[in-house]
Amino acid sequence: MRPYVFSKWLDRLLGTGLLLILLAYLLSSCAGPRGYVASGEALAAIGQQFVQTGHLYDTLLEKKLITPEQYRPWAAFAKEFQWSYPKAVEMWRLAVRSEDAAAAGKLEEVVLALKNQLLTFALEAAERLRPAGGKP
Amino acid sequence: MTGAEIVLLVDALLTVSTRLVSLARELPDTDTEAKERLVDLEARLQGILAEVAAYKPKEV
Repeated sequence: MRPYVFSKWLDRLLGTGLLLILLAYLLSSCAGPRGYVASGEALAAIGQQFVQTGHLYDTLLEKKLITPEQYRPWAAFAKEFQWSYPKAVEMWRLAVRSEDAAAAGKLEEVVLALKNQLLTFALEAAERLRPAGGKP
Repeated sequence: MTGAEIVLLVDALLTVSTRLVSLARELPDTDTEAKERLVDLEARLQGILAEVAAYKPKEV
C-alpha cells in the first residue's frame, strides 16, 4: 500500500514537469496586463513553493531521512534563490510599470530558470520520501 | 516521520504546483480586470518576498 501511494505522489509530482510547458506558454502568449498577471502569479507560486520545499528539506534532515551531505545542495541553492528571487520580482515590477516587452521577455527566462531548479529539488525531496526498495 | 506527516508535507508541496495549472483558467478576461489584479499581485508578492527572506536553511 505505502509504495503504491508514494509512487502515485511521485507520478503526480513528475506530472508537474508539464507545468514548465504551461508556464512557458502562459508567459509568452499574453502581452500587456494579462501577461503581467500570468508572470506575477507564476512568481508568487514559485516563491511559495520555495518556502514549502525548504520546510520539506528541513523536516527530512531533522527526521534523518537525508544526511547533511544530501541537505547541503539545497542550502546552497536556497541562498542563491534568496538572492535572485527579489531581483526577479523587481524585474516584474519594472516591466509592469514600463510595459517593456524586452524586460518581460527577460523575466520569462528568469522565471523558467527558477522554476526548473526548484522543481529539481522538489523531485529530489519526493524521491527521499519513497521507502527503500519500494517499487515505482 | 509518520505517514500522516508525509501526506501533509507532500500535499502542501503539490498544492502550490497545482496552482500553476489553474492559472490558465483564472487569467482575467479584460485589461481593466487585469490591472486590478496587478495591484493585488504586487501586495501579495511583497508578502511572499518577506516569507522567502525569512526562510533560513539549516547550517550543516
